[in-house]
Amino acid sequence: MKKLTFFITATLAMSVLLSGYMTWNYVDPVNTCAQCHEVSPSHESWLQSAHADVRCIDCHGTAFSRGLHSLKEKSGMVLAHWFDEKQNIDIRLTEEQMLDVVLRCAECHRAEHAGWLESGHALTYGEVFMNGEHNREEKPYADCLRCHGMFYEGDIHTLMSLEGEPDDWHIYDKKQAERPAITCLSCHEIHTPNPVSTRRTPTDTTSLSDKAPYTSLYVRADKTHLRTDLLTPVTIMQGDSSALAAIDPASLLCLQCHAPNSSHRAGSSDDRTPLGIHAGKSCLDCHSAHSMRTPRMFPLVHTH
Amino acid sequence: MLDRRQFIKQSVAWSGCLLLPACRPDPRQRLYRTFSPEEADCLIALCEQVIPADDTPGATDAGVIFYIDNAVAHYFPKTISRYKSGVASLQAYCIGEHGSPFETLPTQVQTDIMKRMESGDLPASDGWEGVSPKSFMSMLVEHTMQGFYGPPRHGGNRHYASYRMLKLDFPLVVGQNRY
Repeated sequence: MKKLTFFITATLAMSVLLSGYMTWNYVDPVNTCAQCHEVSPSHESWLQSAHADVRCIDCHGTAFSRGLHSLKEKSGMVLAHWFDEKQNIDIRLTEEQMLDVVLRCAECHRAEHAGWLESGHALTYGEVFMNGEHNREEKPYADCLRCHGMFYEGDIHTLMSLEGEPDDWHIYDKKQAERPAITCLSCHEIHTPNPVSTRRTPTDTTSLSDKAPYTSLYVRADKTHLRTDLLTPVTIMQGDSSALAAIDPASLLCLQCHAPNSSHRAGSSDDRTPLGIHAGKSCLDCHSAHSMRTPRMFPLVHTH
Repeated sequence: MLDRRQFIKQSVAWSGCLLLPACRPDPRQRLYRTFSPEEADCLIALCEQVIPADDTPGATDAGVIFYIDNAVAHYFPKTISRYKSGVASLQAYCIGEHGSPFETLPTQVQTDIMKRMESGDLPASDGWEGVSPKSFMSMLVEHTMQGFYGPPRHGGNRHYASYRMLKLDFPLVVGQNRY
């Protein structure tokens, strides 16, 4: 009889726990996670975003979406809320979580993901930081992570050993070396307020310019995104005069990393400002936003 | 073995637990850690008077209230009571003298009140425990400036509003430094 009582109670408890867990995951987040101060700003922005029809758990996962690892992670977040002195304005994704989000982006944005995979932006930490040829010219330092490894949770000295000759420099963690260094969230903010995208019809009078841009720069220093239409235009110098440079949001975003030297000289450092008959052209006039196919067809655009 | 009565009692109790998330506070309360929505409304109006919006964003647009809310919760906990006392006293004064809370008063009246607070002319006889109108004003201006001009990671300066207003070269556009 005792066994039967125990069995019934255990079954009841399990079913209650399970239904509670399911309820927690599927009810409006206002009733669950978004009750926390840390989550509510993100929740507010998500409500106004084009991804408002994508559930939180579809990107952020659940307590069991990655087995015990995610259970430990989510429990840690709850414990940190009550007991840890480290506080955040809102929840930040770790690099590992961010890479999970990238996989979920790819489930819907397949063409963009495929384009990114074959582009130069899909390069790994290893390809960036263990490139002997490059390292002989310039020693990796903290600011490299501003573009190559925006979400890395450390600095250059926790990432890699810089002892000995450039060819000896190596990333400590082999798993880290294989991670992509520039991902979706480097240039996109999932919570950007924007109406849900729909196919335009002939009677649609709304202008694309009325919308916020689809791109945002992730500012590593502040762990926040800045919409690209809010980026400050930069004056690019060609000789003693300023070059005609595109000021559209996409070009300003590219310029943040494909940047000139501190004097803002056209063609210096990593600058790719189109010159000559191509002056003033937006990067997107020639380049696909995610793939690297186009520039091979027009190799001289930036110099003539 | 559970009898029917116990089973029903336990089922109801467990089912009730599932409804706990529905006992949620005012949605606006979720936005703030320290202040009530009413206190926040007053502080937002005060901060907007310190840095008003014109052709560039002001303190409200820059989310200064979120900086102050976060800062006092985690970095300046001793100022929480000063803020709450100051806001309550100011509201008592405004309702007593003008018949409505500070945030609903006309802009010019708000400005006059704040000028009197700043110069120490506002009567501090009622309330104002632990903080004088002048020191409250001084604290508020200091924190508003921090929230507006400081880095966004602390909650204020939303979208780098002040950096753009000052036309700062930010984010700094600098490529690799080969040497």
